[in-house]
Amino acid sequence: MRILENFRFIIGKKVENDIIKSRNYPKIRDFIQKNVEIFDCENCREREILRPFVSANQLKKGEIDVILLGMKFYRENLKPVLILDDEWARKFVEKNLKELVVKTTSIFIRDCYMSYNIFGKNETLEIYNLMEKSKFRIRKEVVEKLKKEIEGCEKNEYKNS
Amino acid sequence: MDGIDKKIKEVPQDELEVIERYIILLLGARDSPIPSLLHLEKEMFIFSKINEKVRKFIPFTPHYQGPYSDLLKDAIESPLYFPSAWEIIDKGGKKEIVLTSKGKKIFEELVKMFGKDENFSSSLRNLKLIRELYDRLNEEELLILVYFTYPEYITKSKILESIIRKGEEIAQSLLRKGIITEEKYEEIIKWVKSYRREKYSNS
Repeated sequence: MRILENFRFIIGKKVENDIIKSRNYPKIRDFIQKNVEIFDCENCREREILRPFVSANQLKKGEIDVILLGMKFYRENLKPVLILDDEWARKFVEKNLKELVVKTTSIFIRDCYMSYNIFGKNETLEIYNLMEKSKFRIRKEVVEKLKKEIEGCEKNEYKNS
Repeated sequence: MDGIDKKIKEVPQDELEVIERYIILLLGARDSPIPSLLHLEKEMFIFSKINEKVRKFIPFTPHYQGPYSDLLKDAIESPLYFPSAWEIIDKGGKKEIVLTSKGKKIFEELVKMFGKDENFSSSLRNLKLIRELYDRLNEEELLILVYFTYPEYITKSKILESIIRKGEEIAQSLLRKGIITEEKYEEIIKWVKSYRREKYSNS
């Protein structure tokens, strides 16, 4: 909830469809409906501009919607942070759309502590613990490295700690 | 108000004027020359895929180098409405196209006049994105991506054979630079191989 005080949370229709399919959806339905902006990118014309660079299969994925939304908001002079966990999509943005900021979920969580001052240290470590226990696809060594980074970080927590 | 201002405030009289305006917008969308005539042609082609008006005024047909427009070629080489708005610079055999100072002024006037129109701004943003993504490609990279993505335009291509012959090398270069994804690379390689197989079995 505190993330939403600092960021607008925006997802594409395809990502929403994936969330709806999740078994836990009933638990978060109200939250999503109240707090998350959903954009239908099906008819985004910019998709055609990207078509030569990604596979036919990738072009239909939710990751492309995230990229299209990122491009849209960037050009509206906002500062979008794209959360992309699939490597192909992240690499594509890093190499081709350098003006966009792209992060994995786990890095975004780290930055919620280290840069945005949204989470406290213990809270962040607890989120990583929960991620490790969940079905979230993340390598153990990545979580361990991030936890070490958080533990070793000396900063003044002026908020939420 | 000078002649240029008058001209761009008027509703375009015919398709050539519209085409010339779009050329100026494409050139002005980025503060650098378009690397070649081939780039200008294919970038306008991509733009025509997302812009109905451009599609209507600049129809593309299959030709020796893939999608091609007679009208666009004539407008680039012999502009009627905005003469000397751009120049073609020969850089050791490579022909770059760049706005002249007169062309830059026309571009700025167009932005001033229509910048508040959402369709215009969105078109300009898309032209900028097209320039950013496609200017970086060399001619072979540009052609392989356009040929693979729009096979309906390669029926008359005279250089398809040479692109196919070097297919793996070009695709590898695109992958190495991170311009295409691995899945796209695989798709192109599959296409190149299947084209060769088909050709071999027919000959």
